[in-house]
Amino acid sequence: MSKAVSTGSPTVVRTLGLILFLALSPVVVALEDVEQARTLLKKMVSANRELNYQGVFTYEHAGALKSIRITHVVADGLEYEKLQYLNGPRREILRSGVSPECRRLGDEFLKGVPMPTEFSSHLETSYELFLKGEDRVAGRNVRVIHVVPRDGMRYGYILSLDRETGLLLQSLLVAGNRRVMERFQYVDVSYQLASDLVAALVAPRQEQWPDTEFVSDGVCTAQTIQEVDWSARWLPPGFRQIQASIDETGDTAMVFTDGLSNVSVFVSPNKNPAFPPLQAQRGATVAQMTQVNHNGKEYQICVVGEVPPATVEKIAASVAPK
Amino acid sequence: MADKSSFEETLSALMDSEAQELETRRVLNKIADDPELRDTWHRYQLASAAMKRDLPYKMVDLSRSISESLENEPAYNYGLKKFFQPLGKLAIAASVALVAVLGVQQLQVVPGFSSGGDQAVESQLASTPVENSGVAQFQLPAGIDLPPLSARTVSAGSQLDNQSRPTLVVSRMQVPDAKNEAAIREYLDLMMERHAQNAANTSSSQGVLPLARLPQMNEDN
Repeated sequence: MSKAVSTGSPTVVRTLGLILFLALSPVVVALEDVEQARTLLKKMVSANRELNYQGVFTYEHAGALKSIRITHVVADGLEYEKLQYLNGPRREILRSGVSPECRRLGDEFLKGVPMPTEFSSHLETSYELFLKGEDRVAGRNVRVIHVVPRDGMRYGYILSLDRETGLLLQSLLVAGNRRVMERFQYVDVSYQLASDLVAALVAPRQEQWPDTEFVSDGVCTAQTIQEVDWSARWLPPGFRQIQASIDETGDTAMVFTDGLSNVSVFVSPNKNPAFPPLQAQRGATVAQMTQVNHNGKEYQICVVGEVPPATVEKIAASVAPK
Repeated sequence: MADKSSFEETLSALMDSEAQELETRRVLNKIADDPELRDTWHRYQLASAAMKRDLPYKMVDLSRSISESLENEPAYNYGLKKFFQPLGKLAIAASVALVAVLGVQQLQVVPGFSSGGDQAVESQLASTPVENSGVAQFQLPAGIDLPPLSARTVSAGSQLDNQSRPTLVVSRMQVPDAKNEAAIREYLDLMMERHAQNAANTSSSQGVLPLARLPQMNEDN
């Protein structure tokens, strides 16, 4: 036997080489997959904003399903978007005239673009990406990415992106016990928009439903981090602040994100008889209400986010004056 | 038999998704050759399904036939011995060690990708007992055959506004009176709406998804 080893060393080397190759190849393949998933996510962020598309999507949570028609147009360098709720009470939301140049800190974060120092964190500190082959959604071929959280403080996502355009066609939010908390899914989508449709959206004031709501009408509100008096002392690892503002009523609003999951913190001087501390849930959205006494004044705190209830509760408990 | 009750305890924990991974494995191994324990598991599942009014109208126990056919399945390692023969025992030991080391490293780098690729997602996204028991193995790829949407607890009525109302989870407190509750709901709707708009304005990662989360009703409803 020892002879076999000494004289057979080329065989040993070759065999060991083969074993090494076999053992390492999944790693290499996996790394390529992750790189591809990263590229796809970046493409998705720009596709959502820069393409012209019209379609109908459904949003499903807690046994309720609603369908919404979306029209998204980029004309003369400005972004227009109209959402029409197709069942239940009429509701139409119009976001118009936003420049795609209007940088959204949340996007930069997700893309892994070099950020101001406090944004040095990265999507993959919070999630692990898995490329999961192909599927079909709304008649389009899609690439499927599993975004798996690295801890229990956030939910996971299964994202399906149009193979050609990168548009997000399906998103499932998956809780730790693998329950799907919400499903967003296109039923139909097209990228060829009739020119009169584009014109109607760009000059919408004649065409709109009477109860149209205008949101962010031409204003780039995305990147304001004002100096505010409040802070959240605890956030899950990977979360960063991307917005802070005080509105005219004196309410403070802060937004935090880990790249995919968002959490808002609202602090308002207490106008009502004190609300009891409580937690509320709608689909994947969880809200936690608490009170804080600061300098003899009562403040109402409300933390809202698509993260597990325990996370929202912990953030709410940590909100305090700076 | 002394630890019978401890197995049953683990079964029960497994039902509640509270069993540790090791425990789970232990009890699954045990179940394989203990028909009594398997019956217990079966009973627990039935009871749970009955409580959730989820009883299948027809019940078939596949577990026995599956394990029998596994038993009769030929093993697939015949070729290995011949392949390794010229290298001798030493080489085999060395390469096994190498594979083990690499295997472990690989696990740390990309958990689950060593075989199949679905496990990482499953082990992290999945720990509900039904799936682990092999009764209903779900792959979670896409669309059509997903598990039903979560909250059977919620949709109380078929009215639209009921469905888009948040469920209040009252914790550590007395139940609010009706007038207060209306005010709370109004406040929550407003906060959730502002949150959705914040999310839509600060990132496009999910496109219009944050806006889709908005309640359907108008504020004056």
